[in-house]
Amino acid sequence: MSEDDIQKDLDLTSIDKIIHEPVRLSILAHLYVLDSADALFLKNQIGLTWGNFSTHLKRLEEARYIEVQKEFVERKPVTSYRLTELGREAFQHYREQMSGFLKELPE
Amino acid sequence: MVTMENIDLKEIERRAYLTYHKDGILDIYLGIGLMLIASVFFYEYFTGMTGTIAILPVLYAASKKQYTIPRLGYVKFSQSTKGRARNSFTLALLLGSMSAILGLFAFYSVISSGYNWIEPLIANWKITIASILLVVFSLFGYVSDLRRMYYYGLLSAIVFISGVFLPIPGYMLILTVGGIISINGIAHLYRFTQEYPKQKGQENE
Repeated sequence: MSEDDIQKDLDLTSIDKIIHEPVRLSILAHLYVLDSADALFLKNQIGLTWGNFSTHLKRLEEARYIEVQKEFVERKPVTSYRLTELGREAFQHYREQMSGFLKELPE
Repeated sequence: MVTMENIDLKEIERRAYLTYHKDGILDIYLGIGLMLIASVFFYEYFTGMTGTIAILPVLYAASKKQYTIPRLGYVKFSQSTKGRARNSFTLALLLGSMSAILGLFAFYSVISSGYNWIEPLIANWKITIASILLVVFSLFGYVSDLRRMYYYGLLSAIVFISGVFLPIPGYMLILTVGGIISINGIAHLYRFTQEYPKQKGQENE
């Protein structure tokens, strides 16, 4: 790794602040490994109360990291969320950036 | 909560998959299935039970819709997780069919005689069934990643080996195994409904 690369990894000002928040990071991590899930499933998995959970979903939706899917399952409407290609790339980039940063920290 | 220091995507996927099977519904129907098999084998006039076993997967799916989805939420797993579920189902089906075929083969072999190797297996049938159930449940546990299947394997082995020493009729052994598995499933379902109460007006908003 060149010094420039190391410097870039250590520069946290360029970190994606939409992802750099525990609830939103959890949502993205779950949607990264699942095909799609509704808000109830995500809330249960992450272990939160409803609170401002929908605000976080909205924020990710506005950033186009996740998209809403409306479909009928057994004649019942289901609103679920899935990761967009942009969201997948942003999440991967965030992981690389943070891993690089954490790796370079002194013991 | 996921943070960058503890992010483990495989573990997140595994936890999501295991939560989906935390409801004990699989155990309830597995136990019922075993109890029905006991009836089919030990009360030959209950031949209609075979049809009942065939509708268990339909009842399983209906129960999932009734209890799990309204409480846990709706999820579609990725292809790799679906693959694991499919593998477990295929394995269960394959092993079930294999056991049935072997059973029939053993039965007809003994009737037509000449297969001496099968006789000790038939004579010690409780140990044979204990071994088969131990292997089947362990393989099912390994493929499905559901740890309690190993315990069911162990339970089956203990019950059937106890049957060698205790004067318990054969059908009671399989009824005991099926009953315990079903009761454990009901206990899991009760815990699940307490942990994930139905949330009116919140789902799928």
